Amino acid sequence: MRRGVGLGNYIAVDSPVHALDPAAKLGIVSAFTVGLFTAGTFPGLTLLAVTVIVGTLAASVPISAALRGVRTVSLILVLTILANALRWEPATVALVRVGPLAVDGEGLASGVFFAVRIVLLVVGTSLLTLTTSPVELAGGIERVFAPLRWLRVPVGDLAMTLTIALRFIPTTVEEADRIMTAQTARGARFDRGGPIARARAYAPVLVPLFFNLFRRADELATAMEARCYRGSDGRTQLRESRMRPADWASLLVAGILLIATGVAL
Amino acid sequence: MIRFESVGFAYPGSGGRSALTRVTLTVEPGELVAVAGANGSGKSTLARLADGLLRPTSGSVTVDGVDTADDERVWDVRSLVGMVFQDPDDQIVGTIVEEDVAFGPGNLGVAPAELRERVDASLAAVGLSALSRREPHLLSEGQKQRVAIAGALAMRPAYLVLDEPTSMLDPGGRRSVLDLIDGLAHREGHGVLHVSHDATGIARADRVIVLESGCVAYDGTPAGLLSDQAMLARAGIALPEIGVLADALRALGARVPEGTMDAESLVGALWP
Amino acid sequence: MALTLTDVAFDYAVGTSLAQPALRGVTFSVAPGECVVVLGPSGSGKTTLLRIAGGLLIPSRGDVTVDGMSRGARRVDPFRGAVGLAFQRPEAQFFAATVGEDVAFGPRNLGNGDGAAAAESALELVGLSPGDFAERSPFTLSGGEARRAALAGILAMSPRYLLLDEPTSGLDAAGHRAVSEAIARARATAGVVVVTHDAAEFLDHADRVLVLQEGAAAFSGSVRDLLADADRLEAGGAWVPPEHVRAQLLARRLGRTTSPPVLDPGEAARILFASGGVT
Repeated sequence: MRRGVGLGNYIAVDSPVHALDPAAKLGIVSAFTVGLFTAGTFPGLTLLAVTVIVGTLAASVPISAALRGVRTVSLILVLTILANALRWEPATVALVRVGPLAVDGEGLASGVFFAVRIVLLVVGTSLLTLTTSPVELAGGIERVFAPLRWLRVPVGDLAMTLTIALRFIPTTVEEADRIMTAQTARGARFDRGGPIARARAYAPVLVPLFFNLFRRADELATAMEARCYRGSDGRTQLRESRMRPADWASLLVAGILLIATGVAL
Repeated sequence: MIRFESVGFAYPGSGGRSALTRVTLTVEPGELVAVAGANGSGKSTLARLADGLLRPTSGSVTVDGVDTADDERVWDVRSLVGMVFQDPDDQIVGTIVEEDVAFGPGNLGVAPAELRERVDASLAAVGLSALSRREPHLLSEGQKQRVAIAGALAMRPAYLVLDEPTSMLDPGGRRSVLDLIDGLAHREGHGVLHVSHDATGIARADRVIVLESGCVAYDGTPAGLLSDQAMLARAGIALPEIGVLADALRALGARVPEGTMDAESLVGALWP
Repeated sequence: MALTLTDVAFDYAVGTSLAQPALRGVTFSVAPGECVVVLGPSGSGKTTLLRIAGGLLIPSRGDVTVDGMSRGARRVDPFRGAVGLAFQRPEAQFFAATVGEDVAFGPRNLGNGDGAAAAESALELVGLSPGDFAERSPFTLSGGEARRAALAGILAMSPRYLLLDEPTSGLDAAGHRAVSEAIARARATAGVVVVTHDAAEFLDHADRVLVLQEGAAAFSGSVRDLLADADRLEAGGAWVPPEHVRAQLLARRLGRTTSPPVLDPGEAARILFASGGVT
């Protein structure tokens, strides 16, 4: 029985955020990220936080899913706050003292500021992957980088390669797990000896894994040929990707926010 | 129709050893033709020739009159013939079911509105409308194989070539895929070439071709093949117990038609 | 001596939204020389059961013992060398340059010298002559040969228990026959558990049958009892009996016969023919 790992964290529901053009979303996220790093004050940060909250609500994804990424960076958050807040003596105006350590208000404030910035960065970017399937994302990247075609960069084929890589990650993870378990059943040990012995122990996993991957790649290429894949020129996609007024409007709002946080706040 | 005219094929680097020798066959619209043969008899090679993925070294393959060796029109051939392979994991490109089904027609440049319509119709035809937004790797093998079939159907091909599509499925999955194949040929009017070494699948065909070392060893009805022990052995097919039971009943004097491969028809023949 | 699973349960992805039970309290055992066939549709927990019996998954609940020893009790792993497990399409795990080397991998890991002698006798056991096959690359074998070479890789460890997941899937008639013969020979020294969704193939070898449905045992017992219970199992969706058994069930439902179905098609023909009214 296969119970594969989820691919990325895309949640397939219909929402205004899902409906936005992936290229527009990439633009908005870029603007948002730049905004985060130019915002120097709490009001600026608050404005961006409100944007993220509105975005999350509009995307109708569970709050827990939006916050999942925060858990993985929680240690970094704690360290960021501590590194900024804790001072050795003599601290200027200490709030709390524990032995030679002191917490000062200014440090605490900047610690919290940096931590909030990280949280917003994680939640904001995960909104992109939560509401955009990897295929759409690859399509979006393709269109954002389309001008590079003038420099003879095969943008479309690269985007297709990216999509296929994404599609085969879970399959490959499952296969690696299956081969490793099978070789374990044949008495293989992966946890003995020095680094060289360990690396050698992986040969019975890596050789069949790569052999199968190459065979699969060959089969897939045949199947794609049978399905008339001739490169990305003239290909159409299920989700029509064209910037509509709503996309331009969202992008405009993002631009205004960027200027507001960077210049005014 | 798909027409093989005295087709020979040798893989490059095989030292001239032919994988197929003088194979002649036709598949008409609405006809379900099974191709059987032991492992290594040339079945998969034949399937790939029908779609122009391989080109004959001698003889010719034409699809509705278009020669598969014609460089100018090879894409016409591939849009006329939909292919489904043995392992669905090796042919699903999309990360979402409906995006995968849209891959083929998308390559043909079908406009997005029609693309949507084709995807929905194809998924409905294979009974997977409810799973259109799933990730393929979370589906069962039988469901994945039906996604692959939907992907071929969405190209609106006149013909379908299926290379052992049921060999990795459990009995439930196998039956649903066989029913689907049956309907595609006999209700929807597709010409279907079904490569299989499963007697149940072969029994449902209008005609069976047995390959042995690259040559056509049998071309006739499934009933004729299933009642010929020697030919079955040459085709690498094990007669299922139901066939053995039918043979034994005939030997006892019961009137059971040749090629009876399911419980309902057998009992129906015994007690009409 | 036996490989025994007692009230074994297993949950996948515990603590996530994907959490679901794969097994809910299954008990079964196999002794050397016995053959147990495990049936069930895909997703019924067959493969999970096999992984637990092979000591590769720790059950969430219940005990697994190999000849009376459980994993926790000793520092020595009781599964190592005693239980051999072949997954579906085991030929996808070939890695060595020659068949002989690949087959010797298991016995060598168990500290059994260079494993060459064990590899040779295992190749004999699966009907591949070492003289012809030991020096060949495993990647050049035909479907049936590759499957048997992969099984030899397990048998070379001389396991007392042999667990096989769909050992004949994807093979033609000749391949099926060669693999079943190899399994029959292996049974002389090992207890065999075969997991399969093919309803008919291994039943005539089976001492006992376990039918899984949604992670629980829908049936456990002899082949004779399985056939007697076929109506219920079929109605419940746990088992699709082979067509010739279904024909006998249908005849009984129509009141044409009262005999319980049998596995042998010849015997079935005599019973059906004798039941009267046959045209």
